[in-house]
Amino acid sequence: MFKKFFKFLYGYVIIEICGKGAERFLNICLRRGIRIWDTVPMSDGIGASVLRQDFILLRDVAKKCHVRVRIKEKHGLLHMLRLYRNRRVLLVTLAVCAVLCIVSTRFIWLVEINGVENSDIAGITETLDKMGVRNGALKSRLPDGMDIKRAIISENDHIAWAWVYIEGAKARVEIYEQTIPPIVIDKDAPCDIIAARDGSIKRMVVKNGAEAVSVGDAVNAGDVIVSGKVPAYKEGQDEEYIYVHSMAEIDAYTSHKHTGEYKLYYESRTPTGKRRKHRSIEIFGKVYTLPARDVSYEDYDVSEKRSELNIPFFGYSGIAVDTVSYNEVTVNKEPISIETAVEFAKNDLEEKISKELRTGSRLQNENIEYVKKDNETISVTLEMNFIENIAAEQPLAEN
Amino acid sequence: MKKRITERVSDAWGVPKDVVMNIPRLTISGDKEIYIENHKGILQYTDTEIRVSTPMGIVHICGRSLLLERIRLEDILISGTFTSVEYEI
Repeated sequence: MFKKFFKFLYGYVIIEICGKGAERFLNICLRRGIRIWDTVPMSDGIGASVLRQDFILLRDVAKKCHVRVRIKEKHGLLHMLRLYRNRRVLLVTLAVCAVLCIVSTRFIWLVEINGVENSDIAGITETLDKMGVRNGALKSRLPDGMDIKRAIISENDHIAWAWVYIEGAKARVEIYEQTIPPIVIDKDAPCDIIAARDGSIKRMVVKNGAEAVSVGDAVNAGDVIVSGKVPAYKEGQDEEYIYVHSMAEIDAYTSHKHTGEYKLYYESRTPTGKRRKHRSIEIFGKVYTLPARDVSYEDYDVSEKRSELNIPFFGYSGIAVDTVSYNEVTVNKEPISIETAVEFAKNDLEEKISKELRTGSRLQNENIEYVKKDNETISVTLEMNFIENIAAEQPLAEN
Repeated sequence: MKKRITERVSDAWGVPKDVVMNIPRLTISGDKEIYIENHKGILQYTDTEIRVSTPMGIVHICGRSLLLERIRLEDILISGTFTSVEYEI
């Protein structure tokens, strides 16, 4: 990299050494300390590169070796300046563009918010806007980073940390959301034990509270199993209750059923090599879509790419090109047996059911059934029966 | 055969021969790269043949797409696909 830079700075020429003494020419140059690189064999000699300042030294060597040295190409800064010295309009245009790009990096042209999954992104954008972090804002007038951070955290819920990184003309806002802890009911606060899901009670161990159902009873999700409102009166007396924090272990038979449609073939997508690109240019926050032909492919994959123009030492310049590529594909269908499709469906449905289960669930039995819908599709139903702890605490509405 | 003094010294002291004797050192990496130290110059350079002069004779390299990657007074780096490397002594 540095070598290339210095070669460009000093300037160099690509030469052709023609004649029978080309190899001798190289040897003499080496002995005389003339640096030679990029040597390539040619039909009637050797091609090579030498520094511009060393070229004059080659004349003696060429005479001695009876070879002809010819300049093929000139490279370097001096050569470039000489080439463009008469093209003043071009130079002025380039200079204006460079100045424009450098000036543009004094402003914010893109606000990028990362790390938001559950929070309200509109609220965060509003806060940023209020703090002056918006498209077209002058970077030198932005408030202190700590102030922006405080504003984001205080005005938006569930944000643990935030920071604005300025990268050229881009403001990258990194957000870390809080992990919301599960609701824990105070051990002294009265509560009921309710059914977390439908089931049939298998075992009940009530440590505190009044049983509302018995073993063998069917319960629906939300039904009270153990009540925190315990009667404290005898027959004939006035109704009086004490309120307790119910505690119980409730095992119930639960059933989980999922159905899905699955294909009787494996689909592979092979790119044909044809592609159509739709481009849009973003200049200082404004998006201009370039005209493009419609995508007429029957099957295609879509990929998106963003190329941002970065100025060395300044960063993002405010100019970016977004490209959406539509790559045509050939869809090949390889038929698979019903057994394979059912096996695949079982794995898929098991994964879905496992997400619904509570911890400590024990599988009792499972049943899988399928119905052929057409020649290419089957509908698969998986039913799995478990013993699950369905107890869930619910605060008492009235105390 | 009578040994030269430098060779005797090299054997006696366990010093590498290329250090005490005026002989070239060739480092060949597979069939793709040859690095020659202590050479005396290029004698022939084409894309199929390269002949390099060394103090103990000529090293003749044959192959395809041969290229002098780097050439300096003290070493040469040759790349390409080699088919043979021979000494012409």
